[in-house]
Amino acid sequence: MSAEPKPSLETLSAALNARFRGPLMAFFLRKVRHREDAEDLTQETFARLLASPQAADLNSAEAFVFKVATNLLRDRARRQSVRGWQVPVPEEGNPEETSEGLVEDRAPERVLLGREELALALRALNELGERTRDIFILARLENMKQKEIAALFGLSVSTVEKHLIRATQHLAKRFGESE
Amino acid sequence: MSKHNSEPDRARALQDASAWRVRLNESNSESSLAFEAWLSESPAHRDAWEAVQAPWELLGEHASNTELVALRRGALARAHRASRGRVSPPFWRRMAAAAALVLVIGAGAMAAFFWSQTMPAVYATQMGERRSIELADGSRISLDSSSEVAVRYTDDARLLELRRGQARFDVTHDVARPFSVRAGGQAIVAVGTSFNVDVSGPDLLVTLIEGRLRIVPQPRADQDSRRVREISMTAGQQLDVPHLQPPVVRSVETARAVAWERGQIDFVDEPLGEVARRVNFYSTRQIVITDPAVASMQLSGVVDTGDVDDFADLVSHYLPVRAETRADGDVVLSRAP
Repeated sequence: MSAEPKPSLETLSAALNARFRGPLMAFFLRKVRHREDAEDLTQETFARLLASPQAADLNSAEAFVFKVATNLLRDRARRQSVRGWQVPVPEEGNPEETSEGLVEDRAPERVLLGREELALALRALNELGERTRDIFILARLENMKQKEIAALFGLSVSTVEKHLIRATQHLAKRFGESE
Repeated sequence: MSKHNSEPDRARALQDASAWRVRLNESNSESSLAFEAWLSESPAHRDAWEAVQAPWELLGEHASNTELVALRRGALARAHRASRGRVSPPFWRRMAAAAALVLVIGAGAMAAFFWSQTMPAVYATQMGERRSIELADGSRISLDSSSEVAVRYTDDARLLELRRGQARFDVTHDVARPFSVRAGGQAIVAVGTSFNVDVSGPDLLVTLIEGRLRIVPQPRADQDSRRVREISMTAGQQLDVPHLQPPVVRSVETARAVAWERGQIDFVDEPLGEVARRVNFYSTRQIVITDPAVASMQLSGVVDTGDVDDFADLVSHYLPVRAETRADGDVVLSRAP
Protein backbone atom coordinates (compact mmCIF):
# COMPACT_ATOMS: atom_id res chain seq x y z
CA MET A 1 0.00 0.00 0.00
CA SER A 2 2.06 2.92 -1.19
CA ALA A 3 0.89 6.45 -0.57
CA GLU A 4 2.17 7.75 -3.89
CA PRO A 5 -0.11 10.30 -5.50
CA LYS A 6 -1.70 8.93 -8.62
CA PRO A 7 -3.63 10.77 -11.31
CA SER A 8 -7.28 10.07 -10.73
CA LEU A 9 -8.79 7.18 -12.62
CA GLU A 10 -11.37 9.51 -14.16
CA THR A 11 -8.69 11.83 -15.53
CA LEU A 12 -6.76 8.94 -17.02
CA SER A 13 -9.83 7.32 -18.39
CA ALA A 14 -10.92 10.57 -20.06
CA ALA A 15 -7.47 11.06 -21.57
CA LEU A 16 -7.39 7.52 -22.94
CA ASN A 17 -10.86 7.95 -24.36
CA ALA A 18 -10.03 11.20 -26.10
CA ARG A 19 -6.93 9.78 -27.69
CA PHE A 20 -7.66 6.16 -28.51
CA ARG A 21 -11.41 5.65 -28.66
CA GLY A 22 -11.82 6.58 -32.33
CA PRO A 23 -8.91 4.53 -33.67
CA LEU A 24 -9.77 1.57 -31.42
CA MET A 25 -13.41 1.52 -32.50
CA ALA A 26 -12.33 1.71 -36.15
CA PHE A 27 -9.93 -1.18 -35.53
CA PHE A 28 -12.47 -3.41 -33.78
CA LEU A 29 -15.25 -2.59 -36.24
CA ARG A 30 -13.17 -4.12 -39.00
CA LYS A 31 -12.80 -7.30 -36.98
CA VAL A 32 -16.20 -7.95 -35.45
CA ARG A 33 -19.74 -7.92 -36.74
CA HIS A 34 -21.62 -5.93 -34.17
CA ARG A 35 -21.07 -2.41 -32.99
CA GLU A 36 -21.79 -3.50 -29.39
CA ASP A 37 -18.95 -6.02 -29.59
CA ALA A 38 -16.59 -3.30 -30.78
CA GLU A 39 -17.76 -1.12 -27.87
CA ASP A 40 -17.21 -3.94 -25.40
CA LEU A 41 -13.76 -4.66 -26.75
CA THR A 42 -12.81 -0.99 -26.64
CA GLN A 43 -13.96 -0.74 -23.03
CA GLU A 44 -12.13 -3.94 -22.16
CA THR A 45 -8.95 -2.53 -23.72
CA PHE A 46 -9.25 0.59 -21.55
CA ALA A 47 -9.95 -1.49 -18.47
CA ARG A 48 -6.78 -3.52 -19.05
CA LEU A 49 -4.75 -0.39 -19.75
CA LEU A 50 -5.98 1.28 -16.58
CA ALA A 51 -5.04 -1.79 -14.59
CA SER A 52 -1.46 -1.66 -15.88
CA PRO A 53 1.39 0.63 -14.84
CA GLN A 54 1.74 1.87 -18.43
CA ALA A 55 -1.55 3.71 -18.19
CA ALA A 56 -0.08 6.61 -16.21
CA ASP A 57 2.05 7.64 -19.17
CA LEU A 58 0.03 8.27 -22.30
CA ASN A 59 3.07 7.96 -24.54
CA SER A 60 3.95 4.49 -23.38
CA ALA A 61 0.24 3.67 -23.50
CA GLU A 62 0.34 4.37 -27.22
CA ALA A 63 2.81 1.56 -27.83
CA PHE A 64 0.75 -0.66 -25.59
CA VAL A 65 -2.82 0.01 -26.54
CA PHE A 66 -2.95 -1.90 -29.83
CA LYS A 67 -1.02 -4.81 -28.36
CA VAL A 68 -3.71 -5.12 -25.73
CA ALA A 69 -6.39 -4.76 -28.40
CA THR A 70 -4.72 -7.37 -30.62
CA ASN A 71 -4.37 -9.81 -27.74
CA LEU A 72 -8.02 -9.37 -26.79
CA LEU A 73 -9.01 -10.26 -30.34
CA ARG A 74 -6.68 -13.24 -30.41
CA ASP A 75 -8.02 -14.60 -27.12
CA ARG A 76 -11.48 -14.23 -28.48
CA ALA A 77 -10.59 -15.88 -31.78
CA ARG A 78 -8.89 -18.72 -29.94
CA ARG A 79 -11.93 -19.30 -27.79
CA GLN A 80 -14.03 -19.35 -30.91
CA SER A 81 -11.72 -21.53 -32.89
CA VAL A 82 -11.66 -23.96 -30.01
CA ARG A 83 -15.40 -23.85 -29.82
CA GLY A 84 -15.63 -24.25 -33.57
CA TRP A 85 -13.42 -27.31 -33.59
CA GLN A 86 -15.01 -30.25 -35.32
CA VAL A 87 -18.00 -28.14 -36.12
CA PRO A 88 -18.48 -28.51 -39.86
CA VAL A 89 -17.98 -25.29 -41.77
CA PRO A 90 -21.11 -24.50 -43.78
CA GLU A 91 -20.94 -24.83 -47.52
CA GLU A 92 -20.07 -21.69 -49.41
CA GLY A 93 -23.08 -19.73 -50.55
CA ASN A 94 -25.23 -21.22 -47.87
CA PRO A 95 -24.93 -18.75 -45.01
CA GLU A 96 -28.15 -19.97 -43.35
CA GLU A 97 -26.32 -23.08 -42.21
CA THR A 98 -23.79 -21.08 -40.30
CA SER A 99 -23.42 -22.49 -36.83
CA GLU A 100 -23.26 -20.26 -33.78
CA GLY A 101 -19.56 -20.67 -33.06
CA LEU A 102 -18.48 -19.74 -36.54
CA VAL A 103 -20.52 -16.62 -37.18
CA GLU A 104 -17.99 -14.35 -35.55
CA ASP A 105 -15.21 -15.84 -37.59
CA ARG A 106 -16.51 -14.30 -40.70
CA ALA A 107 -15.85 -10.73 -39.71
CA PRO A 108 -16.56 -8.05 -42.31
CA GLU A 109 -12.87 -7.90 -43.14
CA ARG A 110 -12.74 -11.55 -43.97
CA VAL A 111 -14.61 -12.50 -47.05
CA LEU A 112 -15.90 -16.04 -47.10
CA LEU A 113 -13.07 -17.70 -48.88
CA GLY A 114 -13.15 -21.21 -50.12
CA ARG A 115 -11.40 -23.72 -52.25
CA GLU A 116 -11.16 -21.57 -55.38
CA GLU A 117 -9.62 -18.72 -53.46
CA LEU A 118 -7.08 -21.02 -51.86
CA ALA A 119 -6.15 -22.39 -55.29
CA LEU A 120 -5.74 -18.80 -56.46
CA ALA A 121 -3.51 -17.94 -53.50
CA LEU A 122 -1.37 -21.03 -54.06
CA ARG A 123 -1.01 -20.18 -57.74
CA ALA A 124 0.03 -16.63 -56.85
CA LEU A 125 2.54 -17.99 -54.32
CA ASN A 126 4.02 -20.28 -56.95
CA GLU A 127 4.46 -17.37 -59.33
CA LEU A 128 6.90 -15.79 -56.91
CA GLY A 129 10.62 -16.45 -57.05
CA GLU A 130 11.65 -19.28 -54.74
CA ARG A 131 13.57 -17.03 -52.35
CA THR A 132 10.73 -14.50 -52.08
CA ARG A 133 8.20 -17.27 -51.55
CA ASP A 134 10.30 -19.02 -48.91
CA ILE A 135 10.83 -15.78 -47.00
CA PHE A 136 7.13 -15.01 -47.12
CA ILE A 137 6.18 -18.48 -45.89
CA LEU A 138 8.68 -18.40 -43.03
CA ALA A 139 7.35 -15.04 -41.85
CA ARG A 140 3.66 -15.72 -42.40
CA LEU A 141 3.29 -19.39 -41.48
CA GLU A 142 6.34 -20.25 -39.37
CA ASN A 143 6.18 -17.09 -37.25
CA MET A 144 9.81 -16.19 -37.90
CA LYS A 145 11.01 -12.66 -37.31
CA GLN A 146 12.70 -10.75 -40.13
CA LYS A 147 15.96 -10.82 -38.21
CA GLU A 148 15.88 -14.61 -37.96
CA ILE A 149 15.13 -15.03 -41.65
CA ALA A 150 17.90 -12.58 -42.53
CA ALA A 151 20.40 -14.60 -40.47
CA LEU A 152 19.36 -17.86 -42.13
CA PHE A 153 19.76 -16.62 -45.69
CA GLY A 154 22.65 -14.25 -45.03
CA LEU A 155 20.59 -11.21 -46.05
CA SER A 156 20.02 -7.81 -44.51
CA VAL A 157 16.81 -7.23 -42.59
CA SER A 158 15.73 -4.56 -45.04
CA THR A 159 16.16 -6.98 -47.96
CA VAL A 160 13.98 -9.50 -46.14
CA GLU A 161 11.36 -6.82 -45.60
CA LYS A 162 11.44 -5.94 -49.31
CA HIS A 163 10.86 -9.60 -50.23
CA LEU A 164 7.95 -9.74 -47.79
CA ILE A 165 6.31 -6.59 -49.10
CA ARG A 166 6.74 -7.76 -52.69
CA ALA A 167 5.14 -11.13 -51.92
CA THR A 168 2.26 -9.56 -49.99
CA GLN A 169 1.63 -7.10 -52.79
CA HIS A 170 1.70 -9.79 -55.46
CA LEU A 171 -0.86 -11.91 -53.62
CA ALA A 172 -3.15 -8.90 -53.14
CA LYS A 173 -2.85 -7.97 -56.80
CA ARG A 174 -3.74 -11.46 -58.03
CA PHE A 175 -6.67 -11.54 -55.65
CA GLY A 176 -7.89 -8.13 -56.79
CA GLU A 177 -7.79 -9.22 -60.44
CA SER A 178 -10.01 -12.20 -59.81
CA GLU A 179 -12.87 -10.10 -58.49
CA MET B 1 -15.27 2.69 -55.46
CA SER B 2 -11.80 2.15 -56.78
CA LYS B 3 -12.73 3.26 -60.27
CA HIS B 4 -12.49 6.85 -59.07
CA ASN B 5 -8.81 6.36 -58.48
CA SER B 6 -6.16 6.32 -61.11
CA GLU B 7 -4.12 3.20 -61.77
CA PRO B 8 -0.85 4.61 -60.29
CA ASP B 9 -2.75 5.68 -57.15
CA ARG B 10 -4.11 2.18 -56.71
CA ALA B 11 -0.71 0.61 -57.18
CA ARG B 12 0.74 3.03 -54.65
CA ALA B 13 -2.02 2.30 -52.13
CA LEU B 14 -1.50 -1.44 -52.58
CA GLN B 15 2.21 -1.08 -51.95
CA ASP B 16 1.63 0.99 -48.82
CA ALA B 17 -0.97 -1.47 -47.57
CA SER B 18 1.48 -4.34 -48.14
CA ALA B 19 4.17 -2.50 -46.20
CA TRP B 20 1.73 -1.92 -43.34
CA ARG B 21 0.74 -5.59 -43.37
CA VAL B 22 4.35 -6.71 -43.12
CA ARG B 23 5.28 -4.21 -40.39
CA LEU B 24 2.25 -4.93 -38.24
CA ASN B 25 3.01 -8.64 -38.49
CA GLU B 26 6.60 -7.99 -37.47
CA SER B 27 5.54 -6.01 -34.39
CA ASN B 28 3.05 -8.73 -33.52
CA SER B 29 0.26 -6.18 -33.35
CA GLU B 30 -2.73 -5.76 -35.57
CA SER B 31 -2.82 -1.99 -35.55
CA SER B 32 -1.29 1.29 -34.40
CA LEU B 33 -2.37 4.93 -34.26
CA ALA B 34 -0.33 5.71 -37.38
CA PHE B 35 -1.90 2.78 -39.23
CA GLU B 36 -5.43 3.78 -38.24
CA ALA B 37 -4.65 7.32 -39.42
CA TRP B 38 -3.40 6.02 -42.78
CA LEU B 39 -6.41 3.80 -43.18
CA SER B 40 -8.90 6.58 -42.52
CA GLU B 41 -7.19 8.91 -45.02
CA SER B 42 -9.03 7.65 -48.07
CA PRO B 43 -11.35 4.93 -49.34
CA ALA B 44 -8.56 3.84 -51.67
CA HIS B 45 -6.47 2.95 -48.64
CA ARG B 46 -9.29 0.90 -47.20
CA ASP B 47 -9.80 -0.92 -50.52
CA ALA B 48 -6.10 -1.65 -50.73
CA TRP B 49 -6.04 -2.93 -47.16
CA GLU B 50 -8.93 -5.28 -47.81
CA ALA B 51 -7.19 -6.57 -50.92
CA VAL B 52 -4.06 -7.28 -48.86
CA GLN B 53 -5.93 -8.85 -45.95
CA ALA B 54 -7.94 -11.38 -47.97
CA PRO B 55 -5.08 -13.63 -49.17
CA TRP B 56 -3.05 -12.97 -45.99
CA GLU B 57 -5.80 -14.27 -43.71
CA LEU B 58 -6.72 -17.05 -46.09
CA LEU B 59 -3.22 -18.51 -46.03
CA GLY B 60 -3.15 -18.32 -42.25
CA GLU B 61 -6.42 -20.20 -41.99
CA HIS B 62 -5.28 -22.92 -44.33
CA ALA B 63 -1.80 -23.40 -42.86
CA SER B 64 -2.39 -27.17 -42.64
CA ASN B 65 -3.48 -27.54 -46.24
CA THR B 66 -1.45 -30.30 -47.87
CA GLU B 67 0.01 -28.10 -50.61
CA LEU B 68 0.88 -25.34 -48.15
CA VAL B 69 2.49 -27.88 -45.84
CA ALA B 70 4.67 -28.96 -48.77
CA LEU B 71 5.68 -25.34 -49.41
CA ARG B 72 6.43 -24.87 -45.69
CA ARG B 73 8.60 -27.97 -45.59
CA GLY B 74 10.46 -26.77 -48.65
CA ALA B 75 11.00 -23.28 -47.22
CA LEU B 76 12.27 -24.67 -43.90
CA ALA B 77 14.60 -27.14 -45.59
CA ARG B 78 16.08 -24.50 -47.92
CA ALA B 79 16.51 -22.04 -45.04
CA HIS B 80 18.26 -24.76 -43.08
CA ARG B 81 20.54 -25.60 -46.01
CA ALA B 82 21.31 -21.94 -46.76
CA SER B 83 22.34 -21.38 -43.15
CA ARG B 84 24.75 -24.31 -42.95
CA GLY B 85 28.31 -23.31 -42.17
CA ARG B 86 27.22 -19.76 -41.48
CA VAL B 87 24.79 -20.15 -38.65
CA SER B 88 26.09 -22.08 -35.67
CA PRO B 89 24.05 -24.80 -33.97
CA PRO B 90 23.53 -22.73 -30.81
CA PHE B 91 21.77 -20.18 -32.97
CA TRP B 92 19.18 -22.77 -33.79
CA ARG B 93 18.79 -23.61 -30.18
CA ARG B 94 18.28 -19.94 -29.30
CA MET B 95 15.74 -19.65 -32.01
CA ALA B 96 13.80 -22.51 -30.60
CA ALA B 97 12.72 -20.34 -27.73
CA ALA B 98 12.09 -17.34 -29.90
CA ALA B 99 9.98 -18.83 -32.59
CA ALA B 100 7.87 -21.84 -33.20
CA LEU B 101 9.80 -23.23 -36.12
CA VAL B 102 7.52 -26.08 -36.38
CA LEU B 103 6.01 -27.92 -39.18
CA VAL B 104 2.86 -29.73 -38.66
CA ILE B 105 1.88 -32.88 -40.38
CA GLY B 106 -1.43 -31.79 -41.71
CA ALA B 107 -2.86 -35.04 -42.84
CA GLY B 108 -2.81 -38.32 -40.96
CA ALA B 109 -1.72 -39.97 -44.20
CA MET B 110 1.76 -38.49 -44.01
CA ALA B 111 2.29 -39.71 -40.46
CA ALA B 112 0.93 -43.12 -41.37
CA PHE B 113 3.45 -43.32 -44.18
CA PHE B 114 6.38 -42.70 -41.84
CA TRP B 115 5.10 -45.14 -39.30
CA SER B 116 4.92 -47.81 -41.94
CA GLN B 117 8.59 -47.44 -42.90
CA THR B 118 10.30 -49.04 -39.91
CA MET B 119 9.47 -50.43 -36.52
CA PRO B 120 9.35 -47.68 -33.91
CA ALA B 121 11.30 -47.89 -30.66
CA VAL B 122 8.86 -48.41 -27.81
CA TYR B 123 9.48 -47.31 -24.20
CA ALA B 124 7.12 -48.34 -21.42
CA THR B 125 6.86 -48.17 -17.64
CA GLN B 126 5.21 -50.45 -15.07
CA MET B 127 2.79 -49.19 -12.46
CA GLY B 128 4.61 -46.98 -9.98
CA GLU B 129 7.71 -46.73 -12.19
CA ARG B 130 9.08 -43.51 -13.67
CA ARG B 131 11.64 -43.35 -16.39
CA SER B 132 13.70 -40.76 -18.23
CA ILE B 133 14.79 -41.41 -21.82
CA GLU B 134 17.35 -39.45 -23.79
CA LEU B 135 16.86 -39.65 -27.54
CA ALA B 136 19.54 -39.57 -30.24
CA ASP B 137 19.08 -35.84 -30.92
CA GLY B 138 19.31 -34.87 -27.22
CA SER B 139 15.56 -34.55 -26.75
CA ARG B 140 14.26 -36.03 -23.49
CA ILE B 141 11.15 -37.91 -22.52
CA SER B 142 10.10 -38.33 -18.89
CA LEU B 143 7.69 -41.20 -18.71
CA ASP B 144 5.20 -41.45 -15.87
CA SER B 145 3.81 -44.63 -14.29
CA SER B 146 1.97 -47.13 -16.56
CA SER B 147 2.86 -45.22 -19.70
CA GLU B 148 4.04 -46.08 -23.18
CA VAL B 149 5.57 -44.01 -25.93
CA ALA B 150 6.67 -45.04 -29.44
CA VAL B 151 9.47 -43.13 -31.16
CA ARG B 152 10.47 -43.10 -34.80
CA TYR B 153 13.14 -40.80 -36.21
CA THR B 154 13.57 -40.42 -39.94
CA ASP B 155 15.76 -38.06 -41.96
CA ASP B 156 13.13 -35.37 -42.01
CA ALA B 157 10.75 -36.09 -39.17
CA ARG B 158 10.66 -37.05 -35.51
CA LEU B 159 7.41 -38.83 -34.90
CA LEU B 160 6.25 -39.92 -31.48
CA GLU B 161 3.11 -41.44 -30.18
CA LEU B 162 1.97 -41.43 -26.57
CA ARG B 163 -0.03 -44.64 -26.41
CA ARG B 164 -1.01 -44.54 -22.75
CA GLY B 165 -0.25 -42.74 -19.53
CA GLN B 166 1.58 -39.46 -19.28
CA ALA B 167 4.89 -38.02 -20.47
CA ARG B 168 6.83 -34.80 -20.56
CA PHE B 169 8.75 -33.94 -23.71
CA ASP B 170 11.77 -31.61 -23.83
CA VAL B 171 12.64 -31.09 -27.43
CA THR B 172 16.00 -30.26 -28.96
CA HIS B 173 15.35 -27.90 -31.79
CA ASP B 174 15.96 -29.04 -35.32
CA VAL B 175 14.21 -27.06 -37.99
CA ALA B 176 14.68 -29.71 -40.66
CA ARG B 177 13.16 -32.47 -38.55
CA PRO B 178 9.94 -31.35 -36.92
CA PHE B 179 9.00 -33.07 -33.68
CA SER B 180 5.44 -34.17 -33.29
CA VAL B 181 3.53 -36.24 -30.79
CA ARG B 182 0.33 -38.02 -31.53
CA ALA B 183 -1.91 -38.66 -28.59
CA GLY B 184 -5.52 -39.26 -27.80
CA GLY B 185 -6.19 -41.78 -30.53
CA GLN B 186 -6.66 -40.10 -33.87
CA ALA B 187 -7.22 -36.65 -32.47
CA ILE B 188 -4.04 -34.68 -32.06
CA VAL B 189 -0.66 -33.81 -33.44
CA ALA B 190 1.36 -31.61 -31.13
CA VAL B 191 4.63 -29.87 -31.83
CA GLY B 192 6.68 -27.74 -29.49
CA THR B 193 9.58 -27.36 -27.14
CA SER B 194 8.72 -28.45 -23.59
CA PHE B 195 5.34 -29.88 -22.86
CA ASN B 196 3.40 -32.47 -20.92
CA VAL B 197 0.84 -34.80 -22.48
CA ASP B 198 -1.58 -36.77 -20.36
CA VAL B 199 -3.81 -39.48 -21.83
CA SER B 200 -4.31 -41.36 -18.57
CA GLY B 201 -7.72 -39.84 -17.82
CA PRO B 202 -10.95 -39.37 -19.72
CA ASP B 203 -9.69 -36.04 -21.14
CA LEU B 204 -6.59 -35.53 -23.24
CA LEU B 205 -4.53 -32.85 -21.47
CA VAL B 206 -1.66 -31.00 -23.13
CA THR B 207 0.27 -28.52 -20.97
CA LEU B 208 2.82 -26.18 -22.53
CA ILE B 209 5.72 -25.42 -20.21
CA GLU B 210 8.01 -23.57 -22.57
CA GLY B 211 8.08 -22.45 -26.18
CA ARG B 212 5.15 -22.77 -28.52
CA LEU B 213 2.84 -25.51 -29.48
CA ARG B 214 0.46 -26.18 -32.28
CA ILE B 215 -2.27 -28.68 -31.95
CA VAL B 216 -3.56 -30.08 -35.18
CA PRO B 217 -6.73 -32.06 -34.73
CA GLN B 218 -6.70 -35.08 -36.99
CA PRO B 219 -9.79 -34.91 -39.13
CA ARG B 220 -12.20 -37.75 -38.68
CA ALA B 221 -12.74 -39.95 -41.69
CA ASP B 222 -15.94 -38.10 -42.57
CA GLN B 223 -14.34 -34.67 -42.24
CA ASP B 224 -12.69 -32.50 -44.83
CA SER B 225 -9.16 -31.77 -43.62
CA ARG B 226 -9.35 -28.09 -44.49
CA ARG B 227 -12.24 -27.74 -42.08
CA VAL B 228 -10.14 -28.66 -39.12
CA ARG B 229 -8.38 -25.81 -37.43
CA GLU B 230 -5.05 -25.61 -35.70
CA ILE B 231 -4.94 -24.37 -32.14
CA SER B 232 -1.87 -22.41 -31.05
CA MET B 233 -0.82 -22.39 -27.43
CA THR B 234 1.60 -20.27 -25.46
CA ALA B 235 3.57 -21.23 -22.35
CA GLY B 236 1.43 -21.65 -19.26
CA GLN B 237 -1.61 -22.85 -21.13
CA GLN B 238 -3.33 -26.18 -21.00
CA LEU B 239 -5.52 -27.72 -23.65
CA ASP B 240 -8.24 -29.97 -22.33
CA VAL B 241 -9.95 -32.24 -24.86
CA PRO B 242 -12.87 -34.10 -23.34
CA HIS B 243 -14.08 -37.15 -25.22
CA LEU B 244 -16.29 -36.11 -28.14
CA GLN B 245 -16.59 -32.56 -26.91
CA PRO B 246 -15.06 -29.27 -27.96
CA PRO B 247 -11.68 -28.61 -26.36
CA VAL B 248 -10.92 -25.81 -23.94
CA VAL B 249 -7.71 -23.81 -23.54
CA ARG B 250 -7.01 -22.40 -20.08
CA SER B 251 -4.14 -20.87 -18.16
CA VAL B 252 -2.61 -23.17 -15.56
CA GLU B 253 0.30 -23.39 -13.19
CA THR B 254 2.55 -25.65 -15.21
CA ALA B 255 4.44 -26.89 -12.14
CA ARG B 256 1.24 -28.58 -11.05
CA ALA B 257 0.90 -30.47 -14.32
CA VAL B 258 4.40 -31.92 -13.96
CA ALA B 259 4.31 -32.49 -10.18
CA TRP B 260 4.36 -36.21 -11.03
CA GLU B 261 8.02 -35.84 -12.01
CA ARG B 262 8.73 -35.12 -8.33
CA GLY B 263 6.53 -38.03 -7.33
CA GLN B 264 3.61 -35.86 -6.32
CA ILE B 265 0.03 -35.22 -7.28
CA ASP B 266 -0.93 -31.59 -6.94
CA PHE B 267 -4.60 -30.67 -7.26
CA VAL B 268 -6.73 -27.59 -6.68
CA ASP B 269 -10.50 -27.71 -6.33
CA GLU B 270 -10.85 -31.01 -8.11
CA PRO B 271 -13.60 -33.53 -7.58
CA LEU B 272 -12.58 -36.39 -5.31
CA GLY B 273 -13.43 -38.93 -7.99
CA GLU B 274 -10.86 -37.43 -10.39
CA VAL B 275 -8.19 -37.12 -7.71
CA ALA B 276 -8.77 -40.76 -6.70
CA ARG B 277 -8.36 -41.81 -10.32
CA ARG B 278 -4.96 -40.10 -10.39
CA VAL B 279 -3.90 -41.64 -7.07
CA ASN B 280 -4.94 -45.06 -8.38
CA PHE B 281 -2.76 -44.56 -11.45
CA TYR B 282 0.33 -45.12 -9.27
CA SER B 283 -0.76 -47.93 -6.99
CA THR B 284 -1.94 -51.51 -7.04
CA ARG B 285 -3.94 -50.70 -3.90
CA GLN B 286 -6.91 -48.72 -5.15
CA ILE B 287 -9.16 -46.02 -3.78
CA VAL B 288 -12.76 -47.12 -4.25
CA ILE B 289 -15.65 -44.64 -4.32
CA THR B 290 -19.16 -45.85 -5.12
CA ASP B 291 -21.21 -42.89 -3.81
CA PRO B 292 -21.48 -40.15 -6.49
CA ALA B 293 -21.97 -37.54 -3.76
CA VAL B 294 -18.54 -38.48 -2.38
CA ALA B 295 -16.97 -38.53 -5.83
CA SER B 296 -18.12 -34.98 -6.50
CA MET B 297 -16.77 -33.46 -3.27
CA GLN B 298 -14.05 -30.95 -4.07
CA LEU B 299 -10.65 -30.70 -2.49
CA SER B 300 -7.17 -29.26 -2.90
CA GLY B 301 -3.82 -30.61 -1.78
CA VAL B 302 -0.57 -32.36 -2.56
CA VAL B 303 -0.01 -36.07 -1.98
CA ASP B 304 2.87 -38.41 -2.72
CA THR B 305 2.20 -40.80 -5.57
CA GLY B 306 1.75 -44.37 -4.42
CA ASP B 307 0.81 -43.40 -0.86
CA VAL B 308 -2.79 -44.50 -0.67
CA ASP B 309 -2.94 -44.36 3.15
CA ASP B 310 -1.68 -40.77 3.24
CA PHE B 311 -4.33 -39.81 0.73
CA ALA B 312 -7.08 -41.57 2.70
CA ASP B 313 -5.92 -39.73 5.86
CA LEU B 314 -5.99 -36.38 4.12
CA VAL B 315 -9.45 -36.94 2.71
CA SER B 316 -11.04 -38.18 5.92
CA HIS B 317 -9.49 -35.27 7.78
CA TYR B 318 -10.80 -32.52 5.54
CA LEU B 319 -14.00 -33.94 4.13
CA PRO B 320 -17.02 -35.61 5.73
CA VAL B 321 -15.74 -38.95 4.50
CA ARG B 322 -14.83 -42.21 6.20
CA ALA B 323 -11.96 -44.35 4.93
CA GLU B 324 -12.03 -48.10 5.41
CA THR B 325 -9.23 -50.45 4.38
CA ARG B 326 -10.52 -53.71 2.99
CA ALA B 327 -8.80 -57.06 3.36
CA ASP B 328 -7.37 -56.80 -0.17
CA GLY B 329 -5.72 -53.46 0.70
CA ASP B 330 -8.09 -51.25 -1.28
CA VAL B 331 -9.46 -48.24 0.58
CA VAL B 332 -13.19 -47.56 0.41
CA LEU B 333 -14.32 -43.95 0.84
CA SER B 334 -17.90 -43.44 1.98
CA ARG B 335 -19.92 -40.64 3.54
CA ALA B 336 -19.23 -40.20 7.24
CA PRO B 337 -22.32 -40.97 9.32
